[in-house]
Amino acid sequence: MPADVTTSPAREEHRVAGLPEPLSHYTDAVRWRDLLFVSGCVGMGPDGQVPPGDVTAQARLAHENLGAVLHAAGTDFAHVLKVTVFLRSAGDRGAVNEVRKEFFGAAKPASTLIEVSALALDDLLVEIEAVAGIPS
Amino acid sequence: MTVLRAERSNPAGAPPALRPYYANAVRVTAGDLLFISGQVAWDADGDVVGRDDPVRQAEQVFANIGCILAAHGATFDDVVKVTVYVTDLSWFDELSRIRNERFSASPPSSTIVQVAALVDPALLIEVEAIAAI
Repeated sequence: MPADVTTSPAREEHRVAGLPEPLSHYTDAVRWRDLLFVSGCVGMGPDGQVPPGDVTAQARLAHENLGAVLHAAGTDFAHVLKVTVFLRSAGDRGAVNEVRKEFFGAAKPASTLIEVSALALDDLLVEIEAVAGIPS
Repeated sequence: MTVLRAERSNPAGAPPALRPYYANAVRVTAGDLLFISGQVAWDADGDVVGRDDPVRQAEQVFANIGCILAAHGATFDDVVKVTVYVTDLSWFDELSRIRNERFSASPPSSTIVQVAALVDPALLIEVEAIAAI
């Protein structure tokens, strides 16, 4: 039986204006109390375009998208607890790390990085999901 | 007396856990959350332990996780979720033995997947964890 999305005031879905439309039945982030679970963010611009073959540009877009979700939920990069980075090529991690430093500054999240055989779209090179705390 | 911080659940109607070292669900009822980055078979100097030896690598991974847990006053009993990434699932039974030694008393919820590669081609397993302390 389908769940009623309004059953708990602790649970809040976030669909962020300006971000690419979710590709299937999910939303950009879901808050549970003061924890925010952010869907995998990819290198797709507001126009839905992916810069093919440019992992740095994709990583920057993915972090911009992540930042937009965090901001919409009332938090920021300094409150990210954990990221999971999925790369088509593990050799791209250096390039992604440079972008991560730009966005996270002094804050360092817990992190896992893996190489996968495919992402949701052929041109995608990087996907980043996150769990964040929401400051009270 | 141990304070109950997490309730394990293997409800009827869902397929039972395949192994005793994990539970279908864990409900956290109290405690602070600790998010542990994916741990790989690096020693304290960052050198790979157990090249071409997945069992040795898994032992190092769990030693690293144990070290991080201990630094936060926690043990394997406090782990509520693990995600296990392996480059090859063919040694699942040996990995199960290692996990059983650490988690059978207080099994976390668990996901395991085979991935195309880890951050260094020499690495065969990575494990991340969430603990409720």
